[in-house]
Amino acid sequence: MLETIAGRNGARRAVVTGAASGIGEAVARRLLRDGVAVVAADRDEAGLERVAAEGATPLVVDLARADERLRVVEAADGGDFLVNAAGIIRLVPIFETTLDDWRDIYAVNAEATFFLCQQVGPRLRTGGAIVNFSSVSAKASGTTEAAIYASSKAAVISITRSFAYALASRPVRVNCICPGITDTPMQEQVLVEVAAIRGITYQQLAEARLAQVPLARSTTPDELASLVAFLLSDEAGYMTGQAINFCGGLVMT
Amino acid sequence: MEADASFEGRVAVVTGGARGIGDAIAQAFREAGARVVVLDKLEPQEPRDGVRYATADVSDPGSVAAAFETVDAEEGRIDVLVNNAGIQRPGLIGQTSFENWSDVIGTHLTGMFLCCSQAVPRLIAQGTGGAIVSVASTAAIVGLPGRGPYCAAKAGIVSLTRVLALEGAPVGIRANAVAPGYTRTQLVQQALDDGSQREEWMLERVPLNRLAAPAEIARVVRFLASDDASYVTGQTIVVDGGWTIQGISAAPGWLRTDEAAPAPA
Repeated sequence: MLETIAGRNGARRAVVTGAASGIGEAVARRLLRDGVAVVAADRDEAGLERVAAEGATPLVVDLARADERLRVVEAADGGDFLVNAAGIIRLVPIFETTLDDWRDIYAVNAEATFFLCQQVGPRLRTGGAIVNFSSVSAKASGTTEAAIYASSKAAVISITRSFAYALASRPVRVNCICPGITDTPMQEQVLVEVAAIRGITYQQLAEARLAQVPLARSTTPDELASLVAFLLSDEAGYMTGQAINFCGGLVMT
Repeated sequence: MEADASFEGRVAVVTGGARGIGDAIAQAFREAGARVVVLDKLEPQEPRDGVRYATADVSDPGSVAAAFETVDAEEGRIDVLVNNAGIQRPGLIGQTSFENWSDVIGTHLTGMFLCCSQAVPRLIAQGTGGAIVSVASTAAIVGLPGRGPYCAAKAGIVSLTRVLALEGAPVGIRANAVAPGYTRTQLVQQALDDGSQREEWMLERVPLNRLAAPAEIARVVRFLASDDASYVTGQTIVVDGGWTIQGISAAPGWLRTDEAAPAPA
């Protein structure tokens, strides 16, 4: 449907974090297919081999560490796009979760997103764009075992708005996506661990969650990647600071 | 924009497509290979090649029913409905007339209701599902003094979109809205030219520091109607250059009540 996001102004370059699996991997593949040169960043070296085999440049990096993030900044310098898809989750009953959980989750989901926007944003070429990943859990908090994760994803919406404003004069546009139930390894982890915490079966939890989705299905990372491609492209040239729900109607605000 | 064929064989009905954003939406769907029917009270200023124009008043049930019968007869199907028709009648509450209120609500909100009332049963009967995209406004999100009926109508469109999304999900109908900010339509350009609006007042509030082109709104409408947005429903996508992310702190001059429209007769 879209014109490819490469091509119009010559070669385009993107850095995609979290590209070893799930949504980040699908985004990296989609951009490669659209002719974008992709640096695929993740701490999972083995996982990166899949997108590397398709032409991405792998960058093994622990995004929770400020010194290691500088290598992402270098890789993104003078590029066009940044996709902050890296994220982690821990499923712990809300009254048992610890300060260490908070710090570890925030280091990747909020801190890395903030400081990569701060450090990469001004180094992207004019007309560039950033897509961050929030979550519907930022807006609907039924899964209290993921309270810290949800809170870090709410922070991503605020971070997105602030940098949309701060980078508008270049212009570099900044938007974020709030995925709903998506078929990823993280989703598997949620189903397995939350079901165990609640003492119900995986199947019961999966069905209960899907029952809340008007479109009555989950989405795939590939389906989600087309929204990323749209937001990065000039088709969305007047959109900045937005949090787009991609959730089959699970939340509508 | 490269030609693409992603809407080949599909029929898009666009209300208010004779001018402005609606005209750009009609053109965007044409470029993607759709057959397009525009419903409008007005004649098109510059008819687009390959777009069919039918006269209709979206606020009138009989007129809307007749227009959809025309679509049946001429196209034989419908896949996309874009509720875009709208009017502006500025005026403060306490001064603006009931007629102005009724006209604005009638065109935007009742118009959406009436067109959906015609389109939904057809989409269900076809068994193909479909997409409804309605043009709201940032006025649905922030309050604009002097634009009471308009803001209320646009907020109504956002609300009706959610209901349609829930009712339509089991039958494969997705419903979403687009909320444009300041857009350089002919109407806005005229207002800028005659001095009744000033661009710097608008841009003061827009981080991207420019108005939208109608085509930029149209592309988001088309994205929402496309298969790329197959998991998106019930949403209102804001396309405003960042205007509403900062909130409204100080109202620019044209929003001050002493400069708003005079009392109705």
